[in-house]
This record gives sequence, C-alpha cells and structure tokens, in this order.
Amino acid sequence: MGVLTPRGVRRALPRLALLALVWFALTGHVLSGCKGLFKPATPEPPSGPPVRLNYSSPEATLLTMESGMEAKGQGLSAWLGAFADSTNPISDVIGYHQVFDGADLQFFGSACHCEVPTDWRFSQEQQFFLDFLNVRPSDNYAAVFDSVPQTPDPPPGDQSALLYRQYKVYANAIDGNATTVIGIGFADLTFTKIGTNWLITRWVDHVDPAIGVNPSEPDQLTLGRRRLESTR
Amino acid sequence: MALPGGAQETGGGRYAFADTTLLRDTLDLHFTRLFPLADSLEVTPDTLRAISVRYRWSLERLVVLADSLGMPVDSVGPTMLRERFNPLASAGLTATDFTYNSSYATGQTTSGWRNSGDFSYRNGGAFVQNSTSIQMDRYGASNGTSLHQNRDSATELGWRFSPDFSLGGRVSLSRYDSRGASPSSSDISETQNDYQFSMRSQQRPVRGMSSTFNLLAGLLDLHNETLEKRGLSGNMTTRVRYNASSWLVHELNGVLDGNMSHSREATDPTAHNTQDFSANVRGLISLFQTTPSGLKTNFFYNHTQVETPDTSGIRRVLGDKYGIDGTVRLRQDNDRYVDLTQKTTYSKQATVLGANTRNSRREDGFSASGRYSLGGWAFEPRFGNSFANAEFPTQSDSGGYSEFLHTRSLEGTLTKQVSRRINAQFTGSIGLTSYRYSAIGKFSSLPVSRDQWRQSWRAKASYAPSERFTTSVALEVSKNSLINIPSASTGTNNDTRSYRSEWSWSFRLLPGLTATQLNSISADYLEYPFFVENNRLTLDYSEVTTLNAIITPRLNLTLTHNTRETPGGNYTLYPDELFYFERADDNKTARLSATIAYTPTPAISFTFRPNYYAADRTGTVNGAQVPQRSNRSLDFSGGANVNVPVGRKGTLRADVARTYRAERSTTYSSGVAQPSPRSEIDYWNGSVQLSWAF
Repeated sequence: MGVLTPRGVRRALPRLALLALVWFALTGHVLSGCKGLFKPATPEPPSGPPVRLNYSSPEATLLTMESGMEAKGQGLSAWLGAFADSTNPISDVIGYHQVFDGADLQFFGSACHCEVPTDWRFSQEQQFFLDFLNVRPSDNYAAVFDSVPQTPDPPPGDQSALLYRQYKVYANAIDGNATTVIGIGFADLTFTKIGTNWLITRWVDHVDPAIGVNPSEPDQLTLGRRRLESTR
Repeated sequence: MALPGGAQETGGGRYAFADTTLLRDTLDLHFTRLFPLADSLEVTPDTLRAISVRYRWSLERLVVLADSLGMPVDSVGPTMLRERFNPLASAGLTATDFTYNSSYATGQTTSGWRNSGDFSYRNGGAFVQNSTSIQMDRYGASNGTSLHQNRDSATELGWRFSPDFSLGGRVSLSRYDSRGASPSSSDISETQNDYQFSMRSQQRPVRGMSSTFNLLAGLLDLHNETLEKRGLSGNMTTRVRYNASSWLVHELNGVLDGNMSHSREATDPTAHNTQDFSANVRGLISLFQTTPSGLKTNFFYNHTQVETPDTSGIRRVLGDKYGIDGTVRLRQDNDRYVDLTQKTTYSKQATVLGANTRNSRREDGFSASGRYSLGGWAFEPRFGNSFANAEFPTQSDSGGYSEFLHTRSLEGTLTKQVSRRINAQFTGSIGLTSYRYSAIGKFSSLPVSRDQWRQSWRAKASYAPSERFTTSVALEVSKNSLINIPSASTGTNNDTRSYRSEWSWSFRLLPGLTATQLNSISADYLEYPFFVENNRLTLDYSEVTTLNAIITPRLNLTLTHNTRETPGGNYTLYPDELFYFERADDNKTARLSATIAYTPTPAISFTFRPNYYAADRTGTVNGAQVPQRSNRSLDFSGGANVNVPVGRKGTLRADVARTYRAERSTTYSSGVAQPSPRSEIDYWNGSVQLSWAF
C-alpha cells in the first residue's frame, strides 16, 4: 500500500473534485444548504381522519367513494380503490372501463378539436380525480349516489351486480354561504366481486336530460365530461 | 472561411459552441460575432439576425445607425422607413417617391389580397404625400365564406417654411366591412374620417440637444353598427434628446391622443359629450455610461380614458400604468462588471364593472447580474428578488381577493476553456415562487396558496478536435416541487425529479456532407408525498439524426430521422409490502423527413418536402402488454419560388406549393384492431407579391 504524500494529494485533487461534483449533482444536494430565502413553506398536514376503505358490497363501495370525494386529496385512495385495476398483480383480473355519453363526446370533440378518448381506464381515473379537485380547490366537496325510482336495480348475482344511480357532486364554500353543483348525471354501474371486494368494472355515463349537454350553469357537467376535460 | 457543410469552428469560452453551421450552409449568410454582439446589445441573437436579413444591413451598419440615431437597434429599420416620408427630412430639392405593393396569398381555407401604395412629391417647400392600402381577406368555413375588408387612405398636403418647420392639412379615411359566413350572421362595418391640420417641427436649442414636435388637430367622424362619434380630435408627439458629451444622455418621448365628441348609441337618438384620452410618456437618463461606474434609468407613464354612451349614461373605462427602473453598472471591462437594478411598477386596469372597480397591481423588484473572467474561467451569476401585490376586488357579487406574489431566483454559469479544443460549462439555478391569497369582502372561492420550488444543475463539456468534428455531452439534474399549503389541497402536492443526459456530435463526412446527431435519455420521477400509490416514472429515449448535403451549389438535401420512446408506469404494492415499478404504457414515435431544394438560377427555386410519421402506443392488461393505438401519416409538400426583377425598380416574388397529407389511425379494443378510414387533405397554396418603386 502506497504512502499518501502531498504531491499525491495534489494529483488526485481534480479527480476527487470531479467525483464530488458528480455525486452532489446526482443527489441534488448542492444547494440544499440555501435555506431561508429559497426554503418553501411547510404544507399543512392532510386534514381529517383517513377514509375507511369498505368495498364489501356495491352499496358500501358507493359510500366509500362518497367519503373519498368528501376527503378530497386524502380520499384519492378510497375513490380509486372502488375501481377494478387490471394491472394490479395481486387480485384484479378485470379492468375498469368507462363508457361516455355520445352527446358529451360530440360536444367535447367539437369544442377542443383534439383526439377524443373513446375508452377510459384505471390509470386515467387517477389523473381525473386529481384534476377534478382543482375545479374548486378551496371548497369542500360532497358526493351522493342516489337510486333512480324509474329504473330499479335488477337482483344482484353472486359475482356481479348492476346499479342504476343518479350522482351529484357539490362544492360547498368554506364559509357555508355558497353551494355549487360541479358534477351531475346518471351512471349504469357494473360491479364485479373480486376477492372480497365489489369493484366497479363498467361505468356507463349518461347526461341528465333536465340539465343537457350544454348546461345553463356551466359547472353542471357529467363526471364523464369532467373526465374528458381532464385530458386537455 | 470553412467549406460549405463544414462544422463550425469553436468560439470563445463564453459563447461555447453557438452553432450556426446550418444557417451559414443553407442561407449563405455570415454573422461573424453575432452572439457577442447580441449579448452586448441586450437583444436575442435571432432578433438581431432577423433585423439584418429583413433590412439587408450588415451587423456593423446596424450598430452604426443605432448609435447615430440614438435608439435601440430594433427601432432603426422602422425609423429609417418612416423618415422617407418626413417632409422635414428633404433638402428642399424636387423629389418624387412612389412605392407600390400588391400581394395575393391563398391557403387551404383562407385567401388574402393586399394592394398598397405610398406616394410622395416635394418641390421646393411644397410637399404632398399619400398612403393607401386595401386589404381583402376571405375565410372559408363549413357554412360558407366570410369576407373582411380594410380600406385606408391618408393624404397630407403642406408647405415646408424652413428646414425645421412645416404646416399642412391631412385627410385620413378608413373603412372596415365584414360579412359573416352564414346568411344569419350580421354584417359589421365601420367608417372613420379625420380632417386635420398638421404641423411638424424640429429644434436644436443648444449644443447636444435635439427635439421634434408634431401636432395633428381637426375633426373626427366615426360611426359603426353600435356607435356614432363626431367632434374634435388631436394628436401630439414629441421627442427630446440631450447628449452632453459622454457623461449624460437624456431622452423623453411623449404621445398625447384624444378627442372631444358628441357620441350616441346607434339605437338611441340622445347624444352625450364624451372625452377619450391617452397619454404615453417614456424616457431614459444615462449617466457616465463609459466610465467605470454608470447609472441608467428608464421611466414610463401611460394613462387611457375611453368614454362610451350606453343605456345608463356614459360608461368610462380607465387604465393607468407607470414605473421606473434604475441600473447601476460597476464595470472594469466587458468581461468584468456588475449590474444592480431596482424597479417598481404600478398599474390599475378597468374591469367589466366600470371605472370604480379596477384591478390593481404593484411590483417591486431587485436584481443583480454580473460577469467576471479570470485565467480562462468566466463566471456569470444572476440574482432576482421581487414582490408583487395585486387586488381583484370584484370577482363576484360577494367580493374578490388579493394576491401576494414573491419571486426569487439565483443562477450562475461557470465556463472554462480547458484547452483550445475542450470547453466546459456548468450552470446551476434555484428558484422559489410563493403565491398567497386573502379574501376581499366575503369572497369564498380563493385560489390555493402555494409555493413552486425548482432547482437544477447542468454540466456540459464540448470537444472539437478539428474543423470537421465537434461533439458534446451534457448532464442535467433538476427537481420541481408544487407545494399547496391548505390541508384540503395538499393531496396534489408533488415533486418531480428529472435526470437528463445528452450526447451530440457533428461530423463533416465529405466536403459538402455533414452529419449531426443528438441523443438524449431522461427519467422523470413524479412523487406525491402524501399518496405514494400515485407515484409515477416516465422514461424518455430520443435520437435525432440530420444529414445535410450540398450535392451541387444548386442542389441541397437535408435528411432528418427522429425516433423517440417513452415508457411510463406506476409503482404497485406487492405482498412483501414494498412498491415496485411496473411499466403501464409505452409510446413510440418515428419520423423521417427530407427537404430537397434545387435552385437552377437565382430567380427561381424548387423545393420538395416529404415527411413520414408513425406513432404506436401500448398499454398493459392483466399484466401483459397490448397495443392501444397507432397512427401513420404521410405528408408531401412541393413548390416553386420566384424572385425576379421587373424593370429597373420592380420586383416580383411568388411562391406556389401543393400540400398533400394522408393519415390513418387504428385503435384496439380487447386486442382487436379497429382501423379508421384513411383521411386525406390535398390543396394548393401560394402567394404573389409585386413591388414597384420610382
């Protein structure tokens, strides 16, 4: 083993400096000492208790989705957990698909002059949920899935069930003085029992005829339309 | 000078590898010292190059003219063109100037035809000048064709009493007509006539000082579909410049414009007295600009007032903006200096609710920048820190909100000319922008208070062993964070860590044949601190190869091949309680394009551009990769350009091209291909321009 001499140190210095520079650059620590002026604010911790995940029946799944929407950012897992994910390596064998209302597709396509998605899967649902939270970022959200008296649900099977629901998503101002409907429509929801969970494998979206595809209140769009808008 | 197609020689350390090889080889234009000159003039290199090409002046001539006229380099061209029609610029000789331009252009859905003429005649003290233009545009749509016409003419007749003073009269006539595409759409037309007295003057009261003062005043007659306005109008422009030796330069420019009119709505017989007014003043003061320490100050003031009659009386819209900035430069030479700048601006803008509910914004900022070169090293740091307060009081009936914006940034570039052939550059930056919001009144839908933070590093090394070959490698590391502060919005907080590396080279394979390639790989890690299930990784591999061949002096060929692959996916929780990356989607694109240009004579050239594009996207179903969508498109564009002199003072420029595009996409449902019908577009486009100058 050689002896460390001042000359040897000087010769190795450029290589050591280069090595240190590469290490600092790769780890991104070079300016981590610049506190104060360049230190971002500490965000508030996520509000509220964690949403209890319960997908033991189709109705329980809908209640969990309502809680997820109410919890906003903290409810992402609860909302997404209600949809079957075919990429899940553990359990789900059937993937979630959403079918848009034809009028929504046509209206959106003519407005955006872009390629309109004809299918909607689990990975896109994640992006939609995060985008939907920014529709009214400061407001509290509340979602309801109500049964439709005119179209009663058929008897559920052992492995699948079909539920007809009218849904509404409300945005409530923090001071409680204003409530806006930011999502409204009908959905034919197909649930499939995967393991012990009843998960949505098919969501057929319909525009509420009383509201129309181009509502007078511009926020009153179907969730299908909201999903389309999130692709812009 | 290097041979055509040869790689560009390396420059100095500060302007490492500013590659204009393609520009030199394709346009045969030479912009020696373009980058240092643009840096010195504080304009972008492409702006300086565009000005030079447009007015056909060399860079040296542009700088001399800008110095002589005492104006920024981008104002020289318009000023020189305008001065051709300044009566005071003539020397009292008989002179006739006439310029005629006619151009017609057609595209896939639009066509436009413009005719314009500028005439000027001077004999002794008398002068007459006219400027007329007619523009007709057609826009095709599925429900018909809409037409738009602009017709403007301005004539001035006067007498130059002395080299510094003239009086005259001016008539300006303007017409606009628009016809919608469908029979149900309403037509729009507007007529404006101005009859004005004109006065132009210039003064040199003391040595080093020059000034101009121009005045137009007279009658206004305006009417359109909704409004009639008749009354007095006026326009005053002035410029004062004082250059006291080398220690003081002071310049002041002012424009006052306005009218006092009887105005009424087209549907209302009641007329109201209205006043429209605008004032624009800007100026600069430079002190000791050629000494080691100097000061440069810019200031401006804008005020506008527009009054319009409506059902409730008169609606007044006000706008104000003013500001000042000052820069102290401490300078040893061009490679060793520090600039310290402080600025403040204030603005109030009208809202739809009227003059009493204006949005306002005040901004104060400090910045510092400098450059220091020593022993082959060059260091260029920049620092900025600014605060802005804005108020939007009438966002809704319940009130509005105010915004506090704090922006700070620090960046620096270190450059080292390691040897004659090796250059190294290191750049680092950090920045933080903070947005804070508070309610005005009972407004409840506030934007989210948040911070946006970024940090990046980039290291680049370039090696140019010979004139024929240059290469460079670069590594860039960055991190961007979005930090929402309220607990209701923190779910979308995210960090993006990006790693990107590049390798590029340019090699002159043969005289007249140059190959250039850029390879890059990058990885973007998107992380949600509160929802790790949503984390995502996107990779990107791309390559662009260009072959530039000058087969003969008249035949050029450029071939470009571009491929890119972007796989991405999320992290999935496995039974061992660990998250593993799983590729969920993959996009692959490829493009092959060529440009073939043949110029048999300087008067005519032919161009042919084929382009093929392919894109494929795959997803993952039940753990297996399946196709989702694929696109193919093919474009051809071919045409000819003509540029011929007509007589001694005329020029005819024309281009005509045919464009063809075919594309088809295939989507997959449950693995079954569902091809769409092939769509095709095929159209001619072109333009003709005839210019004639006497």
